[in-house]
Amino acid sequence: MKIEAIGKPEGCKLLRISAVIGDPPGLDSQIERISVRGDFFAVPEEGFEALEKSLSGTRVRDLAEAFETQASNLGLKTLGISGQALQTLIEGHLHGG
Amino acid sequence: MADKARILFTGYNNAFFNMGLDEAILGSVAAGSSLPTLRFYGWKPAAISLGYFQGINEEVDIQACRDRGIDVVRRVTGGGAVFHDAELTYSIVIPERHRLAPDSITDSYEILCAGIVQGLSILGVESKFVPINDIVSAGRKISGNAQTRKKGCLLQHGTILLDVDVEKMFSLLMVPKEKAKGKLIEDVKARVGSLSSILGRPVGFDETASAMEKGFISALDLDPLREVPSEEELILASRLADEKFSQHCWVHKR
Repeated sequence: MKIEAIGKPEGCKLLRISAVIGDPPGLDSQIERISVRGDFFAVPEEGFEALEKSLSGTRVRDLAEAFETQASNLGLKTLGISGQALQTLIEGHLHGG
Repeated sequence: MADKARILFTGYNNAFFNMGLDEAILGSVAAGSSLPTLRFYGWKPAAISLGYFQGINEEVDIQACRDRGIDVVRRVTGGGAVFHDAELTYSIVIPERHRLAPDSITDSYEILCAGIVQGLSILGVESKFVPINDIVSAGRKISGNAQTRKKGCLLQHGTILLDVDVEKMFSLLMVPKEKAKGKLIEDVKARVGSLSSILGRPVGFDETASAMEKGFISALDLDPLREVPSEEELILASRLADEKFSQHCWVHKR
Protein backbone atom coordinates (compact mmCIF):
# COMPACT_ATOMS: atom_id res chain seq x y z
CA MET A 1 0.00 0.00 0.00
CA LYS A 2 1.37 3.41 -0.99
CA ILE A 3 0.73 6.25 1.38
CA GLU A 4 1.30 9.98 1.21
CA ALA A 5 1.04 11.79 4.52
CA ILE A 6 1.60 15.44 5.32
CA GLY A 7 1.50 17.24 8.61
CA LYS A 8 3.16 19.45 11.13
CA PRO A 9 3.19 17.53 14.40
CA GLU A 10 3.86 19.39 17.66
CA GLY A 11 7.44 20.68 17.79
CA CYS A 12 8.13 19.75 14.17
CA LYS A 13 8.42 21.46 10.86
CA LEU A 14 6.23 20.53 7.91
CA LEU A 15 6.80 16.86 7.10
CA ARG A 16 5.79 15.08 3.89
CA ILE A 17 6.01 11.31 3.87
CA SER A 18 5.83 8.91 0.95
CA ALA A 19 5.95 5.29 2.00
CA VAL A 20 5.15 1.82 0.80
CA ILE A 21 3.66 -0.30 3.56
CA GLY A 22 3.35 -4.08 3.33
CA ASP A 23 -0.11 -5.62 3.11
CA PRO A 24 -2.28 -5.83 5.02
CA PRO A 25 -1.61 -2.28 6.18
CA GLY A 26 -1.51 -1.90 9.94
CA LEU A 27 0.77 -1.21 12.86
CA ASP A 28 2.55 -4.55 12.42
CA SER A 29 3.12 -4.04 8.70
CA GLN A 30 6.63 -3.53 7.48
CA ILE A 31 7.68 -0.27 5.88
CA GLU A 32 9.11 -1.33 2.53
CA ARG A 33 10.26 2.16 1.52
CA ILE A 34 10.02 5.59 3.05
CA SER A 35 10.96 9.04 1.84
CA VAL A 36 10.57 12.15 3.98
CA ARG A 37 10.64 15.66 2.64
CA GLY A 38 9.96 18.98 4.29
CA ASP A 39 11.29 22.00 6.16
CA PHE A 40 13.21 20.09 8.79
CA PHE A 41 16.94 20.01 9.50
CA ALA A 42 19.35 17.09 9.71
CA VAL A 43 23.11 17.48 9.96
CA PRO A 44 24.99 16.16 8.10
CA GLU A 45 22.33 16.43 5.41
CA GLU A 46 23.92 13.77 3.24
CA GLY A 47 23.34 11.16 5.97
CA PHE A 48 19.58 11.46 5.85
CA GLU A 49 19.20 9.29 2.76
CA ALA A 50 21.06 6.51 4.56
CA LEU A 51 18.66 6.96 7.46
CA GLU A 52 15.65 6.60 5.15
CA LYS A 53 17.13 3.44 3.62
CA SER A 54 17.88 1.98 7.04
CA LEU A 55 14.19 2.21 7.96
CA SER A 56 13.15 -0.28 5.27
CA GLY A 57 11.88 -3.41 6.97
CA THR A 58 10.83 -1.58 10.15
CA ARG A 59 7.33 -2.26 11.47
CA VAL A 60 5.12 0.83 11.59
CA ARG A 61 4.76 0.49 15.35
CA ASP A 62 8.56 0.51 15.73
CA LEU A 63 9.25 3.48 13.47
CA ALA A 64 9.69 6.08 16.21
CA GLU A 65 12.36 4.10 18.03
CA ALA A 66 14.08 2.89 14.85
CA PHE A 67 14.36 6.44 13.50
CA GLU A 68 16.02 7.73 16.66
CA THR A 69 18.34 4.72 16.93
CA GLN A 70 19.45 4.88 13.32
CA ALA A 71 19.88 8.66 13.42
CA SER A 72 22.14 8.23 16.42
CA ASN A 73 24.06 5.41 14.74
CA LEU A 74 24.61 7.58 11.68
CA GLY A 75 25.69 10.57 13.77
CA LEU A 76 22.78 12.69 12.57
CA LYS A 77 21.55 15.69 14.55
CA THR A 78 17.94 16.42 13.67
CA LEU A 79 15.73 19.40 14.30
CA GLY A 80 12.08 19.84 13.41
CA ILE A 81 11.57 16.13 12.81
CA SER A 82 11.28 13.12 15.06
CA GLY A 83 10.61 9.42 14.76
CA GLN A 84 7.49 9.78 16.85
CA ALA A 85 6.17 12.46 14.52
CA LEU A 86 6.69 10.21 11.49
CA GLN A 87 5.06 7.25 13.19
CA THR A 88 2.10 9.36 14.29
CA LEU A 89 1.57 10.71 10.78
CA ILE A 90 1.66 7.24 9.25
CA GLU A 91 -0.59 5.77 11.92
CA GLY A 92 -3.01 8.64 11.40
CA HIS A 93 -3.05 7.91 7.69
CA LEU A 94 -3.63 4.19 8.29
CA HIS A 95 -6.54 5.06 10.55
CA GLY A 96 -8.00 7.31 7.88
CA GLY A 97 -6.90 10.52 9.62
CA MET B 1 37.56 40.28 23.91
CA ALA B 2 35.96 40.70 20.52
CA ASP B 3 36.87 38.07 17.93
CA LYS B 4 38.13 39.14 14.52
CA ALA B 5 35.65 38.57 11.73
CA ARG B 6 35.74 39.28 8.04
CA ILE B 7 32.81 41.30 6.68
CA LEU B 8 31.89 40.94 3.01
CA PHE B 9 29.40 42.96 0.98
CA THR B 10 29.16 41.06 -2.27
CA GLY B 11 26.20 42.84 -3.85
CA TYR B 12 23.75 41.14 -6.17
CA ASN B 13 24.47 37.87 -7.90
CA ASN B 14 22.44 35.03 -9.28
CA ALA B 15 21.18 32.21 -7.07
CA PHE B 16 23.74 29.64 -8.17
CA PHE B 17 26.73 31.89 -7.59
CA ASN B 18 25.33 33.04 -4.26
CA MET B 19 25.07 29.49 -2.98
CA GLY B 20 28.46 28.68 -4.49
CA LEU B 21 30.10 31.57 -2.70
CA ASP B 22 28.63 30.58 0.66
CA GLU B 23 30.05 27.09 0.16
CA ALA B 24 33.41 28.46 -1.03
CA ILE B 25 33.65 30.66 2.07
CA LEU B 26 32.83 27.64 4.22
CA GLY B 27 35.78 25.88 2.61
CA SER B 28 38.21 28.73 3.14
CA VAL B 29 37.21 29.27 6.78
CA ALA B 30 37.50 25.50 7.33
CA ALA B 31 40.97 25.53 5.81
CA GLY B 32 42.00 28.41 8.04
CA SER B 33 42.75 30.63 5.06
CA SER B 34 39.94 33.04 5.95
CA LEU B 35 38.68 34.53 9.18
CA PRO B 36 35.18 33.73 10.41
CA THR B 37 33.08 35.53 7.84
CA LEU B 38 29.87 37.51 7.79
CA ARG B 39 28.57 38.21 4.30
CA PHE B 40 25.68 40.36 3.06
CA TYR B 41 24.22 39.87 -0.39
CA GLY B 42 21.25 40.09 -2.71
CA TRP B 43 19.80 38.06 -5.58
CA LYS B 44 19.52 39.06 -9.24
CA PRO B 45 17.52 37.71 -10.88
CA ALA B 46 15.02 37.02 -8.13
CA ALA B 47 15.08 33.39 -7.08
CA ILE B 48 13.58 30.72 -4.91
CA SER B 49 15.88 28.73 -2.68
CA LEU B 50 14.65 25.36 -1.54
CA GLY B 51 15.61 23.69 1.70
CA TYR B 52 17.88 20.67 1.25
CA PHE B 53 15.11 18.22 2.14
CA GLN B 54 12.25 19.75 0.22
CA GLY B 55 10.66 18.17 -2.83
CA ILE B 56 10.84 20.71 -5.65
CA ASN B 57 7.60 19.65 -7.30
CA GLU B 58 5.74 19.93 -4.01
CA GLU B 59 7.02 23.37 -3.10
CA VAL B 60 7.49 25.35 -6.28
CA ASP B 61 5.39 26.12 -9.34
CA ILE B 62 8.26 25.55 -11.73
CA GLN B 63 6.40 26.75 -14.80
CA ALA B 64 5.38 29.98 -13.05
CA CYS B 65 9.04 30.54 -12.12
CA ARG B 66 10.14 29.96 -15.72
CA ASP B 67 7.47 32.34 -17.01
CA ARG B 68 8.64 35.08 -14.64
CA GLY B 69 12.40 34.50 -15.00
CA ILE B 70 12.78 33.30 -11.42
CA ASP B 71 15.70 30.94 -10.78
CA VAL B 72 15.28 27.98 -8.47
CA VAL B 73 18.21 26.66 -6.43
CA ARG B 74 18.56 24.07 -3.70
CA ARG B 75 20.46 25.09 -0.58
CA VAL B 76 22.95 22.99 1.36
CA THR B 77 20.88 23.84 4.44
CA GLY B 78 17.52 22.50 5.53
CA GLY B 79 14.49 24.63 6.23
CA GLY B 80 11.79 25.96 3.98
CA ALA B 81 11.58 27.53 0.55
CA VAL B 82 12.37 31.24 0.36
CA PHE B 83 11.46 33.75 -2.36
CA HIS B 84 14.47 36.05 -2.68
CA ASP B 85 13.31 39.31 -4.20
CA ALA B 86 13.18 42.51 -2.15
CA GLU B 87 15.30 41.29 0.72
CA LEU B 88 18.75 41.21 2.22
CA THR B 89 20.48 37.89 2.72
CA TYR B 90 23.34 37.25 5.12
CA SER B 91 25.57 34.28 5.73
CA ILE B 92 27.92 33.64 8.60
CA VAL B 93 30.61 30.99 8.69
CA ILE B 94 32.47 30.19 11.89
CA PRO B 95 34.51 27.22 13.06
CA GLU B 96 32.56 24.82 15.28
CA ARG B 97 35.09 25.43 18.05
CA HIS B 98 34.23 29.15 18.06
CA ARG B 99 32.47 30.57 21.13
CA LEU B 100 29.50 31.47 18.92
CA ALA B 101 28.99 27.87 17.80
CA PRO B 102 27.76 25.73 20.68
CA ASP B 103 27.07 22.05 20.04
CA SER B 104 23.35 22.63 20.29
CA ILE B 105 22.00 23.77 16.93
CA THR B 106 19.00 25.29 18.69
CA ASP B 107 21.25 27.36 20.94
CA SER B 108 23.43 28.49 18.08
CA TYR B 109 20.41 29.72 16.12
CA GLU B 110 19.46 31.91 19.05
CA ILE B 111 23.00 33.23 19.51
CA LEU B 112 23.52 34.13 15.86
CA CYS B 113 20.00 35.46 15.31
CA ALA B 114 20.67 37.98 18.07
CA GLY B 115 22.64 39.87 15.43
CA ILE B 116 19.52 40.25 13.31
CA VAL B 117 17.33 41.22 16.26
CA GLN B 118 19.90 43.88 17.15
CA GLY B 119 20.10 45.08 13.54
CA LEU B 120 16.34 45.35 13.35
CA SER B 121 16.35 47.31 16.59
CA ILE B 122 18.77 49.80 15.02
CA LEU B 123 16.21 50.24 12.24
CA GLY B 124 13.51 50.86 14.85
CA VAL B 125 11.86 47.46 14.57
CA GLU B 126 11.15 45.43 17.69
CA SER B 127 11.52 41.74 17.04
CA LYS B 128 12.25 38.49 18.76
CA PHE B 129 13.78 35.14 17.97
CA VAL B 130 11.20 32.36 17.80
CA PRO B 131 12.60 28.83 17.81
CA ILE B 132 13.48 26.96 15.76
CA ASN B 133 14.77 29.48 13.26
CA ASP B 134 12.49 32.47 12.78
CA ILE B 135 12.51 36.12 13.74
CA VAL B 136 9.12 37.64 14.26
CA SER B 137 7.92 41.22 14.58
CA ALA B 138 4.34 41.98 15.68
CA GLY B 139 3.45 38.35 15.11
CA ARG B 140 4.73 38.29 11.56
CA LYS B 141 7.76 36.44 10.26
CA ILE B 142 10.34 38.92 9.02
CA SER B 143 13.40 36.69 8.86
CA GLY B 144 14.00 33.00 8.25
CA ASN B 145 17.32 31.31 8.93
CA ALA B 146 18.94 27.98 8.12
CA GLN B 147 22.08 26.33 9.39
CA THR B 148 24.36 23.44 8.56
CA ARG B 149 27.66 22.18 9.81
CA LYS B 150 30.31 20.89 7.48
CA LYS B 151 34.10 20.54 7.48
CA GLY B 152 34.23 21.57 11.13
CA CYS B 153 32.42 24.84 10.45
CA LEU B 154 28.97 26.22 11.01
CA LEU B 155 27.26 27.96 8.09
CA GLN B 156 24.10 29.88 8.78
CA HIS B 157 22.32 31.97 6.22
CA GLY B 158 19.06 33.84 6.36
CA THR B 159 17.00 36.64 4.97
CA ILE B 160 15.49 39.90 6.12
CA LEU B 161 12.44 40.91 4.10
CA LEU B 162 12.58 44.51 2.89
CA ASP B 163 9.30 44.41 1.04
CA VAL B 164 7.01 41.65 -0.07
CA ASP B 165 4.56 41.06 -2.87
CA VAL B 166 2.56 38.37 -1.13
CA GLU B 167 0.47 37.51 -4.17
CA LYS B 168 3.57 37.05 -6.32
CA MET B 169 5.33 35.04 -3.61
CA PHE B 170 2.43 32.67 -3.22
CA SER B 171 1.95 32.34 -6.97
CA LEU B 172 5.44 30.82 -7.07
CA LEU B 173 5.48 28.85 -3.83
CA MET B 174 2.98 26.11 -3.12
CA VAL B 175 2.38 26.31 0.60
CA PRO B 176 0.07 23.68 2.11
CA LYS B 177 -2.46 24.73 4.73
CA GLU B 178 -0.74 22.43 7.23
CA LYS B 179 2.24 24.80 7.27
CA ALA B 180 0.37 27.40 9.34
CA LYS B 181 -0.77 24.91 11.96
CA GLY B 182 -0.18 26.15 15.48
CA LYS B 183 0.73 29.67 14.40
CA LEU B 184 -0.94 32.73 15.84
CA ILE B 185 -1.97 33.85 12.38
CA GLU B 186 -3.19 30.79 10.52
CA ASP B 187 -3.33 32.42 7.09
CA VAL B 188 0.16 31.84 5.67
CA LYS B 189 -0.09 35.01 3.58
CA ALA B 190 -0.90 37.14 6.60
CA ARG B 191 2.05 35.69 8.51
CA VAL B 192 4.64 37.35 6.27
CA GLY B 193 5.94 40.77 7.30
CA SER B 194 8.48 43.17 5.82
CA LEU B 195 10.53 46.12 7.01
CA SER B 196 8.71 48.49 4.68
CA SER B 197 5.28 47.45 5.91
CA ILE B 198 6.33 47.64 9.56
CA LEU B 199 8.07 51.02 9.28
CA GLY B 200 5.56 52.50 6.84
CA ARG B 201 8.25 53.68 4.44
CA PRO B 202 10.49 52.15 1.79
CA VAL B 203 13.50 50.46 3.37
CA GLY B 204 16.41 49.78 1.06
CA PHE B 205 19.09 47.13 0.75
CA ASP B 206 22.02 49.39 1.75
CA GLU B 207 20.28 50.86 4.78
CA THR B 208 19.35 47.40 6.00
CA ALA B 209 22.77 45.93 5.31
CA SER B 210 24.43 48.73 7.27
CA ALA B 211 22.10 48.21 10.23
CA MET B 212 22.60 44.45 10.14
CA GLU B 213 26.38 44.85 10.02
CA LYS B 214 26.22 46.99 13.16
CA GLY B 215 23.74 44.61 14.77
CA PHE B 216 25.89 41.53 14.22
CA ILE B 217 29.09 43.28 15.33
CA SER B 218 27.43 44.47 18.52
CA ALA B 219 25.39 41.41 19.43
CA LEU B 220 28.13 38.89 18.61
CA ASP B 221 30.98 41.06 19.88
CA LEU B 222 32.96 40.96 16.65
CA ASP B 223 36.09 42.88 15.68
CA PRO B 224 35.27 43.53 12.02
CA LEU B 225 37.59 43.66 9.02
CA ARG B 226 35.92 44.78 5.81
CA GLU B 227 37.34 42.72 2.97
CA VAL B 228 36.43 41.28 -0.39
CA PRO B 229 36.26 37.58 -1.25
CA SER B 230 39.59 36.07 -2.23
CA GLU B 231 40.32 35.17 -5.81
CA GLU B 232 40.27 31.50 -4.83
CA GLU B 233 36.83 31.86 -3.26
CA LEU B 234 35.43 33.59 -6.35
CA ILE B 235 36.84 30.96 -8.69
CA LEU B 236 35.48 28.13 -6.55
CA ALA B 237 32.10 29.88 -6.24
CA SER B 238 31.82 30.07 -10.03
CA ARG B 239 32.78 26.42 -10.36
CA LEU B 240 30.25 25.36 -7.73
CA ALA B 241 27.58 27.47 -9.44
CA ASP B 242 28.27 25.76 -12.78
CA GLU B 243 28.95 22.23 -11.62
CA LYS B 244 26.65 21.89 -8.62
CA PHE B 245 24.05 24.48 -7.79
CA SER B 246 22.71 25.03 -11.32
CA GLN B 247 22.69 21.34 -12.18
CA HIS B 248 19.34 19.59 -12.63
CA CYS B 249 20.47 16.63 -10.55
CA TRP B 250 21.11 18.94 -7.58
CA VAL B 251 18.10 21.23 -7.92
CA HIS B 252 15.75 18.27 -8.51
CA LYS B 253 17.48 16.04 -5.97
CA ARG B 254 14.18 15.56 -4.11
